[in-house]
Amino acid sequence: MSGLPRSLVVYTVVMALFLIAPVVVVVVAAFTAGDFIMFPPSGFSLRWFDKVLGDPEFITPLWNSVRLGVMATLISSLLAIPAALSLIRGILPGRRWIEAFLLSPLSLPTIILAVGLLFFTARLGIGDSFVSLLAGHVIITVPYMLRTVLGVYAGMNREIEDAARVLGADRWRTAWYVTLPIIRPGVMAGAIFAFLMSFDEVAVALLLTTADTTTLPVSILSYLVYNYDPAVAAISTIQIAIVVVALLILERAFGIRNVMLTSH
Amino acid sequence: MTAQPSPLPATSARPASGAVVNIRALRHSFGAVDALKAVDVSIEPGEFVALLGPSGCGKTTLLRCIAGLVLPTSGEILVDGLPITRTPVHKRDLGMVFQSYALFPHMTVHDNVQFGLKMQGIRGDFADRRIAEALALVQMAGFERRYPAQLSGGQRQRVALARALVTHPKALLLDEPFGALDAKLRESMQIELRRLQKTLGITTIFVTHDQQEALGMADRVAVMHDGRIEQFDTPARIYNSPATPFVADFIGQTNRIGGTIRSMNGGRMQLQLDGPDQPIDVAATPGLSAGDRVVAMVRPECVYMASDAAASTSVDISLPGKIADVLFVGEKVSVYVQTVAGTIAASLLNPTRRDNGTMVAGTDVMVGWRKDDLMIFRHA
Repeated sequence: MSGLPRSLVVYTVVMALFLIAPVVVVVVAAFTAGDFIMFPPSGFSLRWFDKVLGDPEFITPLWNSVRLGVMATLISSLLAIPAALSLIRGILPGRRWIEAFLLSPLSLPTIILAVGLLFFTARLGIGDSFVSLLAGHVIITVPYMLRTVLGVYAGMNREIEDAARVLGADRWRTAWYVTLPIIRPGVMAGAIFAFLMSFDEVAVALLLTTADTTTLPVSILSYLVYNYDPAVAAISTIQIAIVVVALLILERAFGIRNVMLTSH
Repeated sequence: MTAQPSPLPATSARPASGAVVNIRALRHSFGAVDALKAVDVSIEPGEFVALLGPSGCGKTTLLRCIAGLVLPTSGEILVDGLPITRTPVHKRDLGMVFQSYALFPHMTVHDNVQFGLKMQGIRGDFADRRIAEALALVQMAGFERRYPAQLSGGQRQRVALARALVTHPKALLLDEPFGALDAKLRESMQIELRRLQKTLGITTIFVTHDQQEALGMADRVAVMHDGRIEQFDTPARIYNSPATPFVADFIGQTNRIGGTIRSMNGGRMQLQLDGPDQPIDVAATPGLSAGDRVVAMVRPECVYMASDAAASTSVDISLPGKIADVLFVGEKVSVYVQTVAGTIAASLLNPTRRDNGTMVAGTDVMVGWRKDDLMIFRHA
């Protein structure tokens, strides 16, 4: 550590203290044999994992969250990829404004979006809470897809698409055989980010879910209101594990560093 | 049956591929900028044409209009008499090689070359034979399973060429294809492309800003400037009889000397150059009249240099001067001589072998040239 600049030392210590330490506490506490969340835990046991995995109160929301995350990711890919391609390719008037608009959910507090969506969907008469929840998550995840795809596509040699067209490929076949395979790292990275954003989103889910569409973060939150047993630590550990696995796939397949650097 | 790779495989299955390309009054504007201003070109079947000019002259825009990648504002492009101006890119049946090669990075060499055939719905044994034939043609047989990233610049260039030729296109378009290669490799690729083009007899349009490349390879050169074709002619005529001052200036080197037309008399005119005392009698340039200001140009290799006036009898104009600079460039030496008509560059074939160190700055010499070597244009 002695070789590191002071500012970096401060940053590392603060990050370790406030970001990693709480996560470590939760994960370690999940393996307790006792009845309360304690650190250090009293004894080692998998009993809380056993309880959580057999409890529909957690398993149903976990499944809801996965389903919601996957669907939101798919829909935002379908929206963001064509948008990103035409933003870069076309000589659109007001290109900057359109891009800023599409990225604006990033700077919008999700609780405001959630309240707005609640009234909006009620007014439209969309009774199905899953549909409105999905719409909310698509809005939140689109910018993540858009940014990574924009980044990768902006760096792609435009002549490669020209070559495909001269060789007889129409627009669709050029996109399918040439553009999409080349920008795939950006698409995959965006998809994983989008999934993670949806997977631990609370504000929109809190306002728009009903009993049977509850997502995992909401169920953890409401469980915490009345309970303080290690079941919460166990389900949180499972959630963290899913996130870590997703990030590992991202790193293994494309190198998170590359993906982050090619983004805007 | 597998095709045996050989440097020049049989091309009997190849249809006569030399198409006629006609471009009529082609214009293109980017907003307020006119990239092409009424361009007319007629290209013969099997001809190798170079579009030559400085950057921004419109040569690449013209090529991209022919390919269909740029839609012209007005005008017509005809291939074998059929208008293709509004035909979408993918239906034009042309081959193109890009400056960046533009190989598909996620496909092997085989799949890159196969792409055009696949888009035409050509598959199976027949497609495989064509791929093998195309790769053999560019001497890349055996590299089928490599990815573009595993190839050198020259090899990528060859694959790009094979990919463009495999569909037996009506014409081959090349956009500065050798720009990224080093000098040695560029020269061998130039010779190879020329040989290939002659063997196949394919009409070829080649964009370059390198005049040696254009003059050395093309049957005819279109010199472009500011969205127009200044001259479309054989390399020898482009060099020896430039049609405009721009062409004279852009191709090769020139000495420019100002002058005035004293009088016109039938097919002759009296030209007073700025500097020399006596006017000279030269063949009249059409369109000029007495009193006009002109610019006369003479190529450095047409300038003779001698150490005294007596030696320079074979020239019509002769000026005393003083050597200002000597530039040794190997096979020849450029000597810059200060005269009353300004600095005159003379290009001499390796004289240093016989010269005993007299050719140094400050030496008094005579420079001169024959009046037939003067290229005379109206002063712009």
